[in-house]
Amino acid sequence: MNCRYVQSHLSAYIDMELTGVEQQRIRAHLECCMECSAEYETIRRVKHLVRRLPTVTPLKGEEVILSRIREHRLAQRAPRRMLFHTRWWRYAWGAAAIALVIWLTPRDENNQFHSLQSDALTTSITSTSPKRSFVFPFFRRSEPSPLIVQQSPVHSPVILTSPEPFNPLTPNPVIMPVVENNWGAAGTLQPPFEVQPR
Amino acid sequence: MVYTAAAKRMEDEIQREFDELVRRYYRQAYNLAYRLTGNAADAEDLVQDAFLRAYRFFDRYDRSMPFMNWFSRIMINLYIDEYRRHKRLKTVSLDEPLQTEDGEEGATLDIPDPGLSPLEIALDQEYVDAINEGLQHLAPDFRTAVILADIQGHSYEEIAEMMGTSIGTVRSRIHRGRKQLRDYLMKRHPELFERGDLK
Repeated sequence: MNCRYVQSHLSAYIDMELTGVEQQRIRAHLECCMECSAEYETIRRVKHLVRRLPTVTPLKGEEVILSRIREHRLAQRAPRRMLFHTRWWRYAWGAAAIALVIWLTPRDENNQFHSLQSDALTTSITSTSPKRSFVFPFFRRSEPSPLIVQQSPVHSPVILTSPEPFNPLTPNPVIMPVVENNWGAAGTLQPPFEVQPR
Repeated sequence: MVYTAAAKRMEDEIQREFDELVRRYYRQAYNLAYRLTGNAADAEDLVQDAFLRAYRFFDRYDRSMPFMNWFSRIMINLYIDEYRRHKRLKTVSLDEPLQTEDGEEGATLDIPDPGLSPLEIALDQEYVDAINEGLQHLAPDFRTAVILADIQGHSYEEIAEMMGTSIGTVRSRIHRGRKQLRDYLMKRHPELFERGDLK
């Protein structure tokens, strides 16, 4: 262990930040080396001087900080109440804009499979029909939508309203089967279990 | 985001907890800030900014570690950032006469007595000033390391974590900082290093 090593580790030695073996070896060196010992004394003195610096008392109280934090909190909370400024609303506006663009994209009615081609790219060879037409993306406006299945009305509509406004709704035979029960009162469902009258 | 009553209650609770921490650690934090900056005005600013930043990132605070360790880290980062931005923090001379609004000179900066307790009077004010000045002469990294080790009493490992460096770097910074401070003080007050106990 040489003086250079010891002198570079003096602070760590003073702070007890070395391993036990290193602490012992440096202590042994300091006992026999005057130069290192003098250096050690001065460094130790500096540490003690800094440690003995008085605690400084703040001129203002902590209320200044607390009020600043409160202000910050209020400022932060205010915009949250504005519904249309939140992130999700921004996305919603974006989605609406994209939908509008798709809606307004010109389509070639005769060429359904390349419906996203722009007018500039469609030549007269591929299509002779008028080029610009605004159609809903999936079907022609002139035709009925293939997605909506048209059914001819077969059943007569069932009116569920009672003719007199204050009478309870009479049981509708289409929805609720009317069953005669043991007591002879009509208009109720058969109870799921057997009820024996006493 | 819907601002519900439960969220508000939770936020209030966090706020209360943080207020309590501010009250408890304010003086300690101010002391550290004062030793870092070397003057009261900058220390106040630093403490306020650090607490505000701590509040903003309070959700990242791990409750299992001491608040002061986490907070010191914030303050040190803030201080070193600020120092790097301005290179040299402005200093205020205590003796220089102030120019008042009326144009008359002669008024001096009014610094209240810090109010030392009897136990702390041991070190002469002259020496306190000298040590303070000496600390301000160190590079900010050295000064921070020395202050954290000697005034705050942190271990090297804690300091390394706070400053975001290795323990080896901390060891070297503390040692070099102390040696520079010693040279500074030896030049001005050699009597501090004479044999015998400190006054």
